[in-house]
Amino acid sequence: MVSRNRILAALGIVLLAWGLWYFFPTRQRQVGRQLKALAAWAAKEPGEGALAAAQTARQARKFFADPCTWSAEAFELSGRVSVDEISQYMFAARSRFESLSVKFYDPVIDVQEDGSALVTATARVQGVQRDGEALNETHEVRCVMSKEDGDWLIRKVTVVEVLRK
Amino acid sequence: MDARLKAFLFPSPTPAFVFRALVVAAAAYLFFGHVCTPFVIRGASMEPTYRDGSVDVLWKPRYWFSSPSRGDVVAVRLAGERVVYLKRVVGLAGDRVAFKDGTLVLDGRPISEPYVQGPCRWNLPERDVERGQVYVVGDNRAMPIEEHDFGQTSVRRIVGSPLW
Repeated sequence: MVSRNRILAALGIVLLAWGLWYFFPTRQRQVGRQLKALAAWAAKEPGEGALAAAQTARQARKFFADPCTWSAEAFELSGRVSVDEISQYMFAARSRFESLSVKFYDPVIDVQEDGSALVTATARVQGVQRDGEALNETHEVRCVMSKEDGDWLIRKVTVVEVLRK
Repeated sequence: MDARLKAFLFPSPTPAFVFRALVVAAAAYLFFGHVCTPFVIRGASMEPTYRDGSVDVLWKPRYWFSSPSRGDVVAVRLAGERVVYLKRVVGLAGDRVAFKDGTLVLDGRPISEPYVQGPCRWNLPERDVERGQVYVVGDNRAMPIEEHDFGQTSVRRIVGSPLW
């Protein structure tokens, strides 16, 4: 039999390791948390009011550098975009939806020597538009992020064309 | 409760038991995570062959020692393998692929596709499949061509095929 003391000691070590991992995140984990915050920011619950929607859109500054470079040929979107433009775009886009969910899968976060982070992930956007039509978009995205004033901000977004018609 | 049943449901954590449990957990992780991974199909692009919401298993060793062939249903990874595209290979490297009035045309010859059902009016100009690439399309050609994700992709992105 494994003694109770040994089990308690093992649990204590696991708890300590978890505490260190949670309260002292590496830069990779900080970027990962920022991606989760970005997904939560873009998501929309049914019944969200106009005021809350406007406040949410204004928080783009927490996630995007000013300006931010976009390269998304599939959406005919490319060039440098200001944070204010991103806020306006998000407000307009989210207002078309009754509900919206954004999730990032398989993020690969590579912190460079210059302090920036290269992030590759699968972004999945699902939602229901106001006219009832469903949206289900999945894309591979690559981002360049850098830490500014304590926040990891996205400086460049590239939507990878996995299937080229 | 019967003593044997109790011992089965609540085994004593002996070192041998802990070792066996760890071996079973590691084997299950390797098998279901890297060899034979269950997945749920989301979306209608492969209907009627694969229904939205149905469950299948991704057999990853399928292309470890071989290359995909025309007609194979394959999983195409994106950034990782948690979300993949499920598509059918219709063209290989060197092929010229086109759609004319809903019919797949390969190297100028119309191809019969029994797995495609429903009306299709797709038109797509001819294009070459490059080296190291395959051309993949979903079976559901009844949906508008603009809304359907398909096209040329690297063979290296193919991570297996569904078991059934």
